[in-house]
Amino acid sequence: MTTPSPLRSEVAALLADAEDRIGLDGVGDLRRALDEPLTVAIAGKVKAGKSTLLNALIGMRIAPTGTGETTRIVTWYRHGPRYEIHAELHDGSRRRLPFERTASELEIDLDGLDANDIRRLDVAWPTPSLVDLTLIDTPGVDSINDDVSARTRRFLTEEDRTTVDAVVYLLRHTHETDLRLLEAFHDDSINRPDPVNTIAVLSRSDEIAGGRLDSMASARRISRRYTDRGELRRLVQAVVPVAGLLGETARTLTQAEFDDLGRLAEVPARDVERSLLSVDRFVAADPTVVDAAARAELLRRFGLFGVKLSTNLVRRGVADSAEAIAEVLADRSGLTELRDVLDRLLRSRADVLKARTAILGLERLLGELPSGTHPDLAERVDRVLGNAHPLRELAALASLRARNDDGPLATSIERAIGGHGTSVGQRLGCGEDTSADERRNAAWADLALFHDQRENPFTDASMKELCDVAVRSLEIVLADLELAGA
Amino acid sequence: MDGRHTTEPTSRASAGGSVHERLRATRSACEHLDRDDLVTQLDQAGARARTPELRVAVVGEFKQGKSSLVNALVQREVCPVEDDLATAVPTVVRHGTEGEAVVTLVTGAGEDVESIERTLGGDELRDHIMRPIRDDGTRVTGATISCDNRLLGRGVVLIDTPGVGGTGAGHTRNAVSSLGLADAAVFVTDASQELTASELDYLRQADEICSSVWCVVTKTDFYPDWSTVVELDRGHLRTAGLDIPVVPVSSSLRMFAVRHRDAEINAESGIPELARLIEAHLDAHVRVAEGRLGEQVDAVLDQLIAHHRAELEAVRDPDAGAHLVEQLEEARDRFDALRSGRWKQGLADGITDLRSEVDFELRARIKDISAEADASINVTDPAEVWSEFEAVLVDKIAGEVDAVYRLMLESAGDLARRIALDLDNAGVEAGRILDIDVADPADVLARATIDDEIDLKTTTSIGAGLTLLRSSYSGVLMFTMLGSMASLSAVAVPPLAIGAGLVFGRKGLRDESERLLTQRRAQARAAMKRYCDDVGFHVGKDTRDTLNRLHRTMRDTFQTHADSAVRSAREAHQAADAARRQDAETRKRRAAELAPTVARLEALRTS
Ligand SMILES: Nc1nc2c(ncn2[C@@H]2O[C@H](COP(=O)(O)OP(=O)(O)OP(=O)(O)O)[C@@H](O)[C@H]2O)c(=O)[nH]1
Ligand SMILES: Nc1nc2c(ncn2[C@@H]2O[C@H](COP(=O)(O)OP(=O)(O)OP(=O)(O)O)[C@@H](O)[C@H]2O)c(=O)[nH]1
Ligand SMILES: [Mg+2]
Ligand SMILES: [Mg+2]
Repeated sequence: MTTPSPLRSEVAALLADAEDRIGLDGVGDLRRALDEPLTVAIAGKVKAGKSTLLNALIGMRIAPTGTGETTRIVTWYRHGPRYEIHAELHDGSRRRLPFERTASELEIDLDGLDANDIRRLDVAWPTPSLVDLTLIDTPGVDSINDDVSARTRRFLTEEDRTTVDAVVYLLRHTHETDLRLLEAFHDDSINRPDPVNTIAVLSRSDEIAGGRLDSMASARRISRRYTDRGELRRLVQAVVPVAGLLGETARTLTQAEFDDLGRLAEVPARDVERSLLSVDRFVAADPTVVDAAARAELLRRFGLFGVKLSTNLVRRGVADSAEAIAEVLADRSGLTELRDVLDRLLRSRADVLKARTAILGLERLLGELPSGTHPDLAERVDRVLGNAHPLRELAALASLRARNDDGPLATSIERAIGGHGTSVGQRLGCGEDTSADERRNAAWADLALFHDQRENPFTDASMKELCDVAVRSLEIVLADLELAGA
Repeated sequence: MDGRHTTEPTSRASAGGSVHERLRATRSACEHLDRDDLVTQLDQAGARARTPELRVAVVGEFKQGKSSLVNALVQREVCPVEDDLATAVPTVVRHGTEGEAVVTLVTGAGEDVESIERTLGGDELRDHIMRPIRDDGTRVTGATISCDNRLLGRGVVLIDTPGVGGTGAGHTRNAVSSLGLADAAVFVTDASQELTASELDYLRQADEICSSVWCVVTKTDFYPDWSTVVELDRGHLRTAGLDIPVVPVSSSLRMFAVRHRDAEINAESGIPELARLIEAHLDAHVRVAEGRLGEQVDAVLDQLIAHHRAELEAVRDPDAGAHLVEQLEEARDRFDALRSGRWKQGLADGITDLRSEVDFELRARIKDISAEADASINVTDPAEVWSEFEAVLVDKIAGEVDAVYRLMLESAGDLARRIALDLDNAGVEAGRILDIDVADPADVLARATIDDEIDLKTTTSIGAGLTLLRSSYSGVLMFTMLGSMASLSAVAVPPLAIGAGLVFGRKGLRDESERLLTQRRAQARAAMKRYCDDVGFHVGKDTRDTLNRLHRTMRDTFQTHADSAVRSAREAHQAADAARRQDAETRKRRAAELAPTVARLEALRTS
């Protein structure tokens, strides 16, 4: 994860050559982007809970959230040495903007600029969670405001495609518009849906059962259905249910909030039940326990489901401190799982994903030139795309997803080529505590299986190619094991 | 047929009386006068007016709380509510024996589609509503559940619909296909966020199609900011120029209130307010139906009055009577000619023309779509765009089929008016003498509601189209042919080697993938053609059946009205003729009887 991979170095060299030869602005941008941390855009329809989830991931209430349409400009949150915010305009110029930090969000003063003139906002913030991950908040699609929708579509499907390495797509139950947008997003130069760098989040999942305490279980069931079959499968790597609001609150919980929960937990269960029938009833309930303003604020922070769940946890003694409840809530909200999935499927291959973004960007730039302008560069691009094993793995993963095949062979291949994570253990399906011998045996067994299937006359042509890729992946795994054993 | 009961003190029943009282009084007058033909007419009109169903479709994007809202309105769990599975077929909830439920299924494919009904209950019913494609190869197209509830008892029929924009079977994007069945629509959107662009689009369409639309914001118990959302929604509707009331509700509070008999929470749920709005609309609906009934009562009264007035004049003044009898004779003959007149041939010819016109339109429109679809298949890869393509195709066909039905109804209305005009010309003279309403047959026709549903009075094409849609392309067509197509979904698009270019090196693969692409396109084209043919076949058959039915009802309606007019004319003539020959004493007595009868009938008539 730390040392730049050979692939990345190769791509960097290719870009350097290309920059010298073509001298286009675009190539320089690609080169600079290659050195940036993994860049992940958070996308989805209006009010999918994008900004809230972004805050949950950063662990800080920074992006503004709200009931009405809130995010109207594409905003980058990246690590920087100083608190600084810039507007990048369509004409390429940058303008530094004044801002104010309130308890709940960042208030950016556009300084008289029109939202339509701004290509993006760039927020630099010295916070550890942004060190190796840049996050992009986007305006919602299907906004009543056509300008806003158009801005996101443009962003996701065109101009910044060359600098975004992965996408977390939020949806609240599948919706046609979501599928169409996901498809459009994948409509890149390979011109094929490509799930390798997209993770779907079933967002606001505490709402799914209308606030019943088993909401998250339902959400998990639905995500599983989406993951296992259906149209989403060929578009994304994984579907994770997350109650973003609860996650955000878990990571920013205050002692005062915990104290309020404690007082509520002492009210007899019967009374609590009646007061939790509706948000209005909750706010209007006994002000001597917690006053109306604090109750309203609790609802804003936890949601009705969160209030029910947290008071329940405190009452049952499952969590007896702010830290403890924060941890349980992060877990229950699905945030912990999402962070784990991001680590496993995106961060662990940051190098490959970045290299991929760069090489596809270069391919596109070359494609825009009169054909045959730089045949040798085009050939090198082709060679990298065709030969670099990590890229072949990504492509094979995509191809596997598209087959919609959950037979044992497909599942083993998916695992071997890193579909469940790129560590040796994850590729072999072994726990962390398996011995080196066991691992070696597992690897040989898989290798034998893939070999056999490749030679089997009944295996179809594309499956044979997939076996090929998996064989190569296992050879690398075995080499690593030898190296470690030596 | 003398005026024995004219001695009763009568005329009070009228002026202030309800239309139903007027109907009763007029009916007994007809009975006394042995006019069983008019009694039948009145009975039919009365039956139509007594059951003024108000069909309210509950629509909206999926998982917004539509089924829960229906349950909240009828205070029991009739429609299935599930976190993941969705309502997949339109479910009609109407008044009737508690718990009785029937699902409609279709079997077969292509031209052999057949529709059957099955009585179900409990989990099986729920399962049929949420999983319409059954293991035995049948497909559920709809369900009807009865329950004994006050709101429904008043004539409200609720229709729970599959969400707009879901991805499952039965989900469509077309407002027309879910609202074709309805008089009014409850549009459901939850309080989690303000209206989106697609929701607003749908509301715009619904507003055009339905006489009344309410926008219901659900789940107010769950979202702390629900009132902000309600305000935002009101603003959006205002900006869009839509005059649609926004009603915040919580179905779960309502169900709690029902379980615990808690009036306070019931009020908080907002459901009583919504029920009140629906009932107010129902009242208006009833008033319209009663207005129409009143006109029909008047038409019958006019015939009776004319008949008796003619006789009265004859007994009062036998000399003038002689002239009158001549005139009446002429009127009678003219009406007689009407009965067997050319209008029947004209009507038959008109229907034949209409049939070929509709046939032609249907064929031409489907052909255009098919050509368009063909062109688009040629430039895309079905593996990538199939679901999108399927949705667009189904939507477009639905639009065209709808247009054909509207066209058919409009032309049928024109034809009816033309025939009425013919009748008018023949009957105008006779009518003038008799002062009978037949002088304006167009008007008679307008009042005649032809069969239960098809109402020619509707003047705008949109309203007209819908009444026809409702009775015409029903179950099978509406949701099998237009919702999601068996023949379309069945197409197995071969798996696409995604990213294969990368794995295998792009150039070598090109030929193979070209070949596969050609194959996919051929499959897609075949599926599309089969679908278009299916639609053409079923819609063609349905339009022909509808036209036959229209023909029959129009002919019968004209015939009965002509018959009654002839009878009135004939009896008036006989009575006047007889009166002339009576002695002065008898005439005087008869005049004394007739005058109050006429007065009484005139009093029954509105102005
Ligand atoms: N109950 C619940 N509410 C949530 C959750 N996530 C977000 N919300 C609420 O939903 C509303 C919208 O959240 P945002 O994060 O602003 O959504 P967004 O997608 O960024 O919205 P736009 O930027 O306007 O497109 C806010 O009122 C949040 O409090 C969640 O997981 N559960
Ligand atoms: N808290 C709360 N939840 C509700 C309310 N109404 C519906 N829900 C929940 O919202 C979810 C969807 O409700 P349904 O009534 O099935 O919604 P629908 O629009 O019929 O859904 P589809 O048929 O799947 O399109 C369920 O989990 C319900 O429990 C409400 O008033 N309050
Ligand atoms: Mg936002
Ligand atoms: Mg439903």
